[in-house]
Amino acid sequence: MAGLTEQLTSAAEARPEGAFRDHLRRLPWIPAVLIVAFLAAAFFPELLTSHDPLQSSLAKRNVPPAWVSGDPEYLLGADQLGRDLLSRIIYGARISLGAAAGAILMGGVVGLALGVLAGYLGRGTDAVIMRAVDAMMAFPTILLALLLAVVMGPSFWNIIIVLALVLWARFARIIRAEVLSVKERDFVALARVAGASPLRVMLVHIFPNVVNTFIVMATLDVGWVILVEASLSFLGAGIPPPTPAWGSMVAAGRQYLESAPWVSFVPGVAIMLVVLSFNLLGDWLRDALDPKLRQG
Amino acid sequence: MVRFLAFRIGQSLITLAAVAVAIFTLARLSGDPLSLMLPINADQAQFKAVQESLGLDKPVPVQFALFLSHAAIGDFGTSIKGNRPVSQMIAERLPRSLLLALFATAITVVFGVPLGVMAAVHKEGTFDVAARIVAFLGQSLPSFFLAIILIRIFAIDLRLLPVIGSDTPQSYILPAVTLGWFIMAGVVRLLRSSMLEVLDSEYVKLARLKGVAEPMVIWKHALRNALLPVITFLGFMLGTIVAAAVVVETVFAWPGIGSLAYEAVLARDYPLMQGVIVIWAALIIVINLAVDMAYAYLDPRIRY
Repeated sequence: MAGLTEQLTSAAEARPEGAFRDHLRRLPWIPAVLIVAFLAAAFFPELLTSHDPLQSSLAKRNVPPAWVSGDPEYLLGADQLGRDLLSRIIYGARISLGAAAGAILMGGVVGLALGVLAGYLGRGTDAVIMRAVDAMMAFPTILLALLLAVVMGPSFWNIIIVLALVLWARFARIIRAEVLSVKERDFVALARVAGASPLRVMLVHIFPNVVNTFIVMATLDVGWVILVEASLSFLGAGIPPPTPAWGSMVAAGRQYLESAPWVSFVPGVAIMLVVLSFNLLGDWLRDALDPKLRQG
Repeated sequence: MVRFLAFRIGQSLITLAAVAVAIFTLARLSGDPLSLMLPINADQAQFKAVQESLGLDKPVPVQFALFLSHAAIGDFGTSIKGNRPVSQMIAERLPRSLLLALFATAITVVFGVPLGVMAAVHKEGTFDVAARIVAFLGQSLPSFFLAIILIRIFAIDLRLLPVIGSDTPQSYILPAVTLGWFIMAGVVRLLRSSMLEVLDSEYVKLARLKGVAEPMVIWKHALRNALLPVITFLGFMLGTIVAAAVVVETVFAWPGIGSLAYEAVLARDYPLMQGVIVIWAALIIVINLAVDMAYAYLDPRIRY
């Protein structure tokens, strides 16, 4: 454990004083606030809306948003079954963000572990893991996810597993590259000479040095995972209705594109805002923690 | 070079084999196609007959060996739903997808390259802001939502373009723009940063000192070198574009390989599913290999 704290303090010292505060000043405020709002929706949907997202009403079918209809009860309008769109967006946040968080945690940890193993052990281990990664990357993502979703059946946890299966390869590849450069550094050689076991070297000396990359990748991938999940549910392979999932809400509105475009547009804009916010925040985090990952 | 080539080809073949194993396993896990195909009141004899005709009565390893040996000569069996050779169905649909991908790439190059260059030349200017907006929206706008926005604007409100289908040249525009949008974001971002780098280099300074006209410096001396990473990116993107096509082709009812794959998965049409995915993965692997080679050829500094 001493090694870990040593690593972390040395990493902190390497950064000039006040650099972090400097970065904090450049935090993109609007995306940060939006993310907090969506997180609040995911955690406490019942506090933010009094409507039941599943309550349909024939009389309220395709009610336009408040600024068109003047009816403040349905702020963002109602869908084809007369369900309040705002409350469906709010409850849908839990599905979107929950699936993304679960998938990134699961896929990211597996990818991190395999990436460290492949990078540090090299040889056969590396070859096997990397060929698996290549095969994974050669699959068209959406199609693989679609296939898995159909195989496993639609449920919240299955969607998380599907997304994690697609994700781990992305993590493993980048983490491995990172490990390859870290393991050439002197402290790794010293640890080995001092008799540290490979497991200890990986956990105590390699891991703390790739954890920043991991955090940045995880943030940058949130947007991507939300997009994949939304595409799956748009294609009808996500969480089954009537549970509000943003992607399937967009799909449901396709038939009313001419008469009631908001049925599609409201959830579409929600997806866009949340993905955009996570991308902007991820970019900021990358610049703050791990500028190496920058690719253009 | 020959050694490297042989190594990369060997590696690609292993990857492809892994894909084949994975897809075969997944297809077997996805449920029984017989129960979907046969009427509920089918008797045991009918069941047996269909099972035999599809080869589903043989042990799984035998099924796999047959699948591999047939796939190697381009025979993926007969589609359960279409009742036609899978290779024939793919051959019909693949050109449509490739054409769409090509068209999308063309749109990307025509709009993305000038925007990327102008963003770098006039840093922090109007073009730079536009480039940044394109880059961010490209990453965050889901393709199905972009498709729906475009349909609403151009097909419903303005009535300029058809909503779905692929019969007229105009019907290529909306799906191609939707597909191209993502790649465009990447092209603009990459080209901007590589142009900035190149414009700062010694030979560009020398060209300017020699009195070469500024447009010539930008569009010939600098762009030619800045395009290199963009070409790699486009090559890799060709694979991604075919993947994004599943959603885009489904929305626009485009008769390509993406919508074919979608139909196959939903119908649990094993042979079709296997065929489409193996062809698809092979395409991506070949493209990646070609990009590696092209890169080595284009950049004299890279020698294997």
